[in-house]
Amino acid sequence: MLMPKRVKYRKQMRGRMRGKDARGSEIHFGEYGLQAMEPGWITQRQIEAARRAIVRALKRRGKVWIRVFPDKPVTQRAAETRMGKGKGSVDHWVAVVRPGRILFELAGAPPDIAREALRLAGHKLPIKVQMRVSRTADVGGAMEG
Amino acid sequence: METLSLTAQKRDTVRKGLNRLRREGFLPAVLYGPGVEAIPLQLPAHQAGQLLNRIRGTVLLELSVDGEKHTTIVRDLQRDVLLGTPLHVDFMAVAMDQKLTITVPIRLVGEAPAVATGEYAVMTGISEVEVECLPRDMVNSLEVSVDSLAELGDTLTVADVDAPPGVTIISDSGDNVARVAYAGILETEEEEEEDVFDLDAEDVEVIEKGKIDEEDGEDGGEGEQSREEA
Repeated sequence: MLMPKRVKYRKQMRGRMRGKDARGSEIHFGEYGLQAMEPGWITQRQIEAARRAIVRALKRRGKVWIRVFPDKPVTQRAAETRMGKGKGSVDHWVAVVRPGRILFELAGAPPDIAREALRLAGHKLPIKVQMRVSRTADVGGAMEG
Repeated sequence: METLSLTAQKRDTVRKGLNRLRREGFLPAVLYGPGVEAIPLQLPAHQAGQLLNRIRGTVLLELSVDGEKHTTIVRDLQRDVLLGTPLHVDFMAVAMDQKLTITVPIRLVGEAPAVATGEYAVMTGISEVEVECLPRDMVNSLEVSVDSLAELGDTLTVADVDAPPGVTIISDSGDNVARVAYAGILETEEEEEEDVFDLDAEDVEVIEKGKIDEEDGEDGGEGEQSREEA
């Protein structure tokens, strides 16, 4: 499961997710991509579950790139503890995603199987997503909804 | 080489108010080029969007601005990251007797024998090359056959791209266009299940203040000490 090896600060504040992602919004490595349409936090478990869904659907054909990394710690207070006594301990890690971000990319799979793989992966994620096709897969950069 | 045509009007709205213009059904654009002073334009969004979505690669476009005709190419096209609708277009006026430098997409055609086993996949490298040509010699895309990719490590470079007469490729001939690589999904299903999810989110090293190297102590006290010593 993805998580950082070392960090500068153990805990973070929540932050805001305003606007669209200008970076990371184009397909760079593969032929097909899964693009976020909403902002959200995607946990390390959700990323792993989506990756597995893609790998299974591809039946070991093709290559997968994960374009997001869960580098934000999320804390959780221990059960049945009173308020106070400081911030809870780190429970899991999330990737902060804004609309437009490409989450996964695939290559080397037929279009129908790639579409199915990304559809299944989309169901593992907490946000609305859409499939994108790269310029090399369809010269001129057609977009699909 | 096909030539398409579009009609545009001069635009008074610059910098501010472009979103309102878009809501009113116009697409902001600009026309520039050698011997042409930059002119802000607006186009009917629906008609222009349909035409721009049909364009593959670089094509000549006859742009009529308040009755004056310009032969142009689309130099830059900004799209909405989610919807893919055009937000702004740069038209560059071209002189038919002057050579142009344009980027042309590379299209991989054929079936690579290496992919048949399922163990390997064709990884694409650069997707566009820079070419120099006269406007009448422009091509929409350059095709490269992947039929020669039979084994792991086989590569296609820009040198393998055949340019038609009148078109000179100026990108580095050694740039990678496609190569055969491991598909990368070789793990077994037994490896899956719970164990991967058992990692503790707290098992992450925190870079201590004043830490000099990896072997220094984990706790803050030792970090402080090493800083004092330094």
